[in-house]
Amino acid sequence: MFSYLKQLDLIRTLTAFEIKLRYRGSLLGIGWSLISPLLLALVLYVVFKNAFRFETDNFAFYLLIGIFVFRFLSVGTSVGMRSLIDKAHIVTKTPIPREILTISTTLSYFISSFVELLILVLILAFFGVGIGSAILLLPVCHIVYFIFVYGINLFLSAFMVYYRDLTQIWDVILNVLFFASPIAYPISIIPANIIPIYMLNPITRLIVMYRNVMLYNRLPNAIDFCYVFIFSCLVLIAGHLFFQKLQSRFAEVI
Amino acid sequence: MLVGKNVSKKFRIPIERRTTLFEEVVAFMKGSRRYEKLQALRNVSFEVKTGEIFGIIGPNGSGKTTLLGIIANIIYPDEGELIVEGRITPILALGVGFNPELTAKENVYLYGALVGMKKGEIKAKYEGIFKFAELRRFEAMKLKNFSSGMNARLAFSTAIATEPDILLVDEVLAVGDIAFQIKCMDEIKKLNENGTTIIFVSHNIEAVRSLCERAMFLNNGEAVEVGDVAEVVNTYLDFSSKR
Repeated sequence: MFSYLKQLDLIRTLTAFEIKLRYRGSLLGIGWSLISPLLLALVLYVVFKNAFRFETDNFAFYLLIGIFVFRFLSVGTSVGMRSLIDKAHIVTKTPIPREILTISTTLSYFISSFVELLILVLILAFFGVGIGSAILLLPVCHIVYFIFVYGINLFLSAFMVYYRDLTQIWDVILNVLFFASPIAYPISIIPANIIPIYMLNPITRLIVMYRNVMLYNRLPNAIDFCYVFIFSCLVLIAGHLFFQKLQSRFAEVI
Repeated sequence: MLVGKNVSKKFRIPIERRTTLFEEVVAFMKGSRRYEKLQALRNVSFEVKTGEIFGIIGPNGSGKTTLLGIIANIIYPDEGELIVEGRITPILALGVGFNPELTAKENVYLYGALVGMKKGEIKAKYEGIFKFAELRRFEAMKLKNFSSGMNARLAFSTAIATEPDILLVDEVLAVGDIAFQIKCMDEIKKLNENGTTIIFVSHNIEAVRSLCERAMFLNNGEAVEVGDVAEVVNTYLDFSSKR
């Protein structure tokens, strides 16, 4: 089912080229992927802190973690959905399994978002947040998150071959998800009767997991972890089946 | 060995071309979501023996490139089957899948990875590739700045460096200059002498006649004739002059 994963050399090479191309001709390199979330955090901090007056300690850190975590989903899928159409030259000329294109784009963003998170950990530590041993679970959280994003990308990239306006639709969905997740506000403002529905959103639980690990030096809640892990695996399997179903006509339609 | 048995392929051509989901939904609501079928290949059967050079000729739109795409396992047939023994390297429509944003050097390494070569293998072949393509000076140039001739040179040189069992060649000679065309023909012959099976698609009838032993004439997706190259070429020339 996932036999293409055996082509490790190819996946590694494509991922490396992806990262190389992204930073080619850019002066600040990974700096840009820090500046934009930091600016967004600044804006949201000013707006939400003053307009809503949340009783959250360390609201700035709380916000930063939410934004940095959400970025992997938003940037990773916005680019990941183009992973096939931007590589039409490979799709139409070589017989490699096409999932390899999608997984390497996703992997390249997995790596850069992990680096971003590590830099954020340094920033947090610098400002006096007590980073403890729970931080060792950060890679585990990020791998689970990767499974989720990759599953989504399998759906999106395959769909994108047929319908190019998916970009606009997905942008709207991402915006809804941003405000449906506890990024710029604490979960405590959600009315208790809505909480069961609110917690169905795996991004909510993911962000809670990351905050536990990065901000509160606590282990992720086991229920959160299992929920997100199972949810991600289901998304991956469904995405895989969807991709398989569409892939036979990729070279003709793209 | 390469055998095609009753290979058929239909393409769907939307009657009104719709590429956005919104338009598709609108058309679906109106009940006008229709396709025209284009029969690109119909019951095509052929056999290419190991070690021969097999030509495919036919007018534009006769299904040559579709057939090569199917042989290369990039497009899948609706019906029929293909039996392939050995590793195939395709050079389709002047390209092998190079990325215009990468340099020539990077593209060669990427291509090597795409066809499953180890990094060391590519490194060992690297000099030879650029020497054959006569593009040593341009190895650090991005491919988008290459001329179509340079592109074809690099594609051909890189593809043959993979030492495939079966090489698919689709019109590589069309854009290269005469010196390079001759060089390519010689190289194709040399590869063939070393045991590579070659499928050669070209509108250059003279090249087909001098290179191939057997050939297939495709028209409208059907194999009109498969057999000795001289006869097949004659059938094609007769057919073309009557049109």
